Amino acid sequence: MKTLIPRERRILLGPGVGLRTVAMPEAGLLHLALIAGCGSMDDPKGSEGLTHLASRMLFEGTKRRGTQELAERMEELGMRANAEVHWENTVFRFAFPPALLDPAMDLLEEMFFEPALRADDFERLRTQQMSNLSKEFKDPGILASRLANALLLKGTRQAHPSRGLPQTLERIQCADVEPHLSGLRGHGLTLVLCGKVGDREEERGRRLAAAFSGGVLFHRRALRGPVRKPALYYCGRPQSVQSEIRVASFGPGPAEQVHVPAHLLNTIFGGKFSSRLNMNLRERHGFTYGAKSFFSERRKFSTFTISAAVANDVTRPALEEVMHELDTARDGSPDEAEVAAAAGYLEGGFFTSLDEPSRYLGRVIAREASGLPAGRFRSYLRILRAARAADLAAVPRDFLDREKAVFVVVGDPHILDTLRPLGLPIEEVIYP
Amino acid sequence: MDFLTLHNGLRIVLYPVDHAPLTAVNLWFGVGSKDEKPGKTGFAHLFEHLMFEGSRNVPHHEHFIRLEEVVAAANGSTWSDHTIYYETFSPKHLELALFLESDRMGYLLDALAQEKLDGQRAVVKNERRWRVDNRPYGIWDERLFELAFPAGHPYHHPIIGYMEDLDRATLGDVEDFFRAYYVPSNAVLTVAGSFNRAKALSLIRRYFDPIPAGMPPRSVVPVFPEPADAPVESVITDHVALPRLYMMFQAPARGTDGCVDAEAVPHLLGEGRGSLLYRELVLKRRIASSTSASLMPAMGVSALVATVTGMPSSRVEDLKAAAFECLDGLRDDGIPAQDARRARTCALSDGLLQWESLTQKATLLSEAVMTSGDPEEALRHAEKLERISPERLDPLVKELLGRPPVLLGFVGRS
Repeated sequence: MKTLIPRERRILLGPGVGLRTVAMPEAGLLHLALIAGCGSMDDPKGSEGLTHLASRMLFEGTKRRGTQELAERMEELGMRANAEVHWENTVFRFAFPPALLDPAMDLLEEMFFEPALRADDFERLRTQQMSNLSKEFKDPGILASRLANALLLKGTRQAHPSRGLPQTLERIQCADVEPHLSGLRGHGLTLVLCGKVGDREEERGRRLAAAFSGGVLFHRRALRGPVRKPALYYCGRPQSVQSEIRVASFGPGPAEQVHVPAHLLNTIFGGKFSSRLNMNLRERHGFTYGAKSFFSERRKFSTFTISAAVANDVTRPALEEVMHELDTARDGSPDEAEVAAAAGYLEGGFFTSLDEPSRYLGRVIAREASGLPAGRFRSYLRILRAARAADLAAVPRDFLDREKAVFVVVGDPHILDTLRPLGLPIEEVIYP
Repeated sequence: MDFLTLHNGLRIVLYPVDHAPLTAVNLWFGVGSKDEKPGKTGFAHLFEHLMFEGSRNVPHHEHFIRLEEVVAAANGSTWSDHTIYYETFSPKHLELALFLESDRMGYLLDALAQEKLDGQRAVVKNERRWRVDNRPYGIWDERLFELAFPAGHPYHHPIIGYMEDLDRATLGDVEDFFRAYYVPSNAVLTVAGSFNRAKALSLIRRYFDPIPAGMPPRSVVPVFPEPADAPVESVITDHVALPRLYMMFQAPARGTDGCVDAEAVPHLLGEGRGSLLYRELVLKRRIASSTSASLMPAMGVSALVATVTGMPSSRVEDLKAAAFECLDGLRDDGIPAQDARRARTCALSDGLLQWESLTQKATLLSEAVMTSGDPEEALRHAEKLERISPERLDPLVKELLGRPPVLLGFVGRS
């Protein structure tokens, strides 16, 4: 049987530029991730969404090929590609058949270092992105998640969706893109190659990563905002047949000592199917198809979110059950059996991420983006295997404290009055 | 690879493979929403939920609890033709996975209770609200299949079922369904990944051999409906910001070589930025914000669905006119060789990606047995994709685009 954790090499190529190779010989494709140290935190005030637009402009042709030619060339190489903008970084992911390594890497160099940045393409892309935003905000689940984020982080540089808002996208000009690209392809970049990585692949990886040396150190570090007074924010969506519930608060950062115990606590609370939250709302009461909770991490802190879509007529009882579970988790202590089950689940989750190279690469990306050391996976497993109920006692319970949380409900106007007996001040909001 | 059949008819595939230290189990039943009785739509899926609610030797809620102590990837899914249950785990937990699968396959009814049925009925109704009724464009596949297949056809109704039908399900229905379809001879069990062959076989015999054979199932085999003389069209007003057009074309049935060739067709039509509809409608004419296309393989007839999402000011009729100008041109003028090669490369890349996952490998092996009787067919899939050529794609696309499509438009509420 093979080693549990795939073999990894870390190569520093210059100031702020690194290469990681992850050996997963069973992979059919070569997976590549470029983690750029520039994220939506770096959007200039009033131009929120610029990082997202700039990352997309890299797919809009090069000085040698138009948008269509670039798209066709990628498909000729069987290349899958996408870009995701996060708060503190932007991750470009590519995958292609290993036999096409040289032409694929040549194309990536061309794409990143010879972008066309044509004004006409920019106008089309911006219109497309604004249309997509309007489409997404019609989805009550997306609306509720973005609203909870905006309210929790109000007053910080993370209150906007990473894709921006219609009014901010409108202000961005094509000329704004080029200066911003130096952040996306500059200092603080990590290239990860995952799959059947031999000498040839490593050599091409070195060449591509080295090209990113220099550039501008952009990235700001995200900081948490002040804790707001508890309130329930209601956003109306007429004719809804379900209410989308979100509860958001602040949690610990990935480098904190309590990080793994906090994840154990969350797993027990709402992080798996058999969690207390899901067993209560779904299995005991039949209020929802699923209720869950999770952390979204930045380097210095995380946000903690509870999420459930419940039928209109049970919105209030569902919220009451969420509050009851929060209070129980904040004030009580899980027993050894719960902790052992949660640790087994998280360890199993690590194991099963090895099922697909793209999923394991996702873990490597999260680790690198958080600035954690290579030994992180081994220490994570070690902590899980030794976990005891007493370890969880040290975890600050702020993230489970409903007095420090933002409650959001997106749903039909008829439910609004039914929520008043909850005792939370209710604010009606229009978003975006 | 080993392929054998137990005395009760259960087909077994053992596929040891050099992969990460994981084992995957897939249990594939040849029953889906096509087998539901009139007025009882959604039942196959509701039944799938009940399979996680405990069985003779597994107390209520313990199925997931026991799996989650050691496994993170475990679930089930229901389709029109089949239902699958799967879990992927560290090799040392193979016995637990086989025990849990065998107990519900053999002895589910011993633990059945009205309370469980009512609980899962409420959950499924919420699933429907969440997936379909409260989500922009959420009803697209339900409406499209209702338009494509006449009432009474096995593919006419939605897999998740209609609300009023979910209310009608009784414990008697659960018992009948279980006895009719959840029998060993209607199932394939695949174990893939890291395991000891002899030990795995011994465990399988211990847990699955005692399950009675039951009556061979009378599964429905869907047939092609009579092709319509003209496109079937409908427009829905929904909570959407952008107009969208769905175009559904009939494609060759699952398990045929034509269906393998058809895996390249989405990349030709609308999937990816190099596809015809993206190039023409998004990049050139700028009347659409995105396009997509996908193949939905099925036993009787597969569906190829292409989608064009407009800009806020677009009209569905303009999207339709522009899309069919492109598609008619492709049908009449033939596929440029370069486009065909590109589509083949994309399909090959999809195939390689799918085969990377052990969970997917186990699923594909079970599927190969169900469709062709031979698990090796799953291993030959990549070779078949390699054979895709302009000469093979051209007649397929001509036939596919030659039949009147089913069209469904979405417009926003004023």
